[in-house]
Amino acid sequence: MQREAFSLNETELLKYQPNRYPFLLIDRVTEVVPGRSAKGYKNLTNNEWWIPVHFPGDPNMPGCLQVEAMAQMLTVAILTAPGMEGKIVHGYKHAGTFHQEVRPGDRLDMEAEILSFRRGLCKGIVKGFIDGALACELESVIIIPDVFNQFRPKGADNKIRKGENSHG
Amino acid sequence: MNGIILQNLDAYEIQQYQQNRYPCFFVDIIEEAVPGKSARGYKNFTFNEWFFPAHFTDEPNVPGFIQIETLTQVFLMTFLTLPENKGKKTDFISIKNARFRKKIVPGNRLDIEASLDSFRHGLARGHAEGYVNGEPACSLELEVAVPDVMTKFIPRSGGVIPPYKFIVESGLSVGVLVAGKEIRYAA
Repeated sequence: MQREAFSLNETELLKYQPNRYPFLLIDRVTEVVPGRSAKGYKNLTNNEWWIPVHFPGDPNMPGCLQVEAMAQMLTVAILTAPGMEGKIVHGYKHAGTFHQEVRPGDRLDMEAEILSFRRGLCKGIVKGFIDGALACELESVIIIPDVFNQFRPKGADNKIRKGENSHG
Repeated sequence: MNGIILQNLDAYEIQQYQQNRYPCFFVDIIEEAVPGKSARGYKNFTFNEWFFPAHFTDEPNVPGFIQIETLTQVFLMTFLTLPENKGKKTDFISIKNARFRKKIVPGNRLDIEASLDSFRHGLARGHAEGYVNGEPACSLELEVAVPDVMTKFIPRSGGVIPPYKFIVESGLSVGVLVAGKEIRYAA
């Protein structure tokens, strides 16, 4: 499973990540080892859609969006594996911890590591840092329905739908 | 000018000085502002901004007019930080020598240095330069007015604007004619 590490710039990222504005919450992937790990960052700025409302006079990044940003970094580690690019990913279970506010002007550095990836089910952990200090953490289980559904017993109902929702 | 140097202004504090608001608010942090003299600050660019899906879909980069506006908003902090100008609105008068040297993409940080050359009668003149990773990315010379201040210096006759005519030369308005007197715009 050991593969060479590489980086993704802003156009290459769009090839692998299916999320788009206003829900693409990572900017740059500085180092990714497909199927194992991904490192990168998101820039925070005042020109983002939640700034006027969360909160007026005290803008900071909503926790749910920090979870989303970290989950997107985790999916990059999977979607760069052969045959996986651009696939839809669903969140299955997230556990987040938030240590400090993430504010406009900050750069949120994220490090995602995959603990296991079998039958379309991926477990991983992600850490977010600001200026080297831990800002947020995520333990996550995510599903790639395209792969997951191939392993479901025949006749099982409630198939995980694909492509209709963005993952959360 | 008055010996005060402002440092590390965040979004809330910057908005006490200038009236630009989302989605037309293009500065994140003012690292240092010397009222009446200079300002230094930056803006982060991220995918989560409204112009990236449209400019361009397969090759996102920062439009030139956004770069102009970003440079300008840091420049505003050189004179809106003067106590008498705090929180006032501003108008563009002219932009000269706008140069765009580098493609700026999501994930970049644009560091901006702005200097005020003169501020008289509500008219600010100066220049601003932007850097990405320490390399020059864009630069600009500007004239910006503070209408609230400037209108105090416009000659009036009994509070009524006197009848005037534009002086037009080769299709361009170069001044106004008021009460038989020619007032030409500064070159």
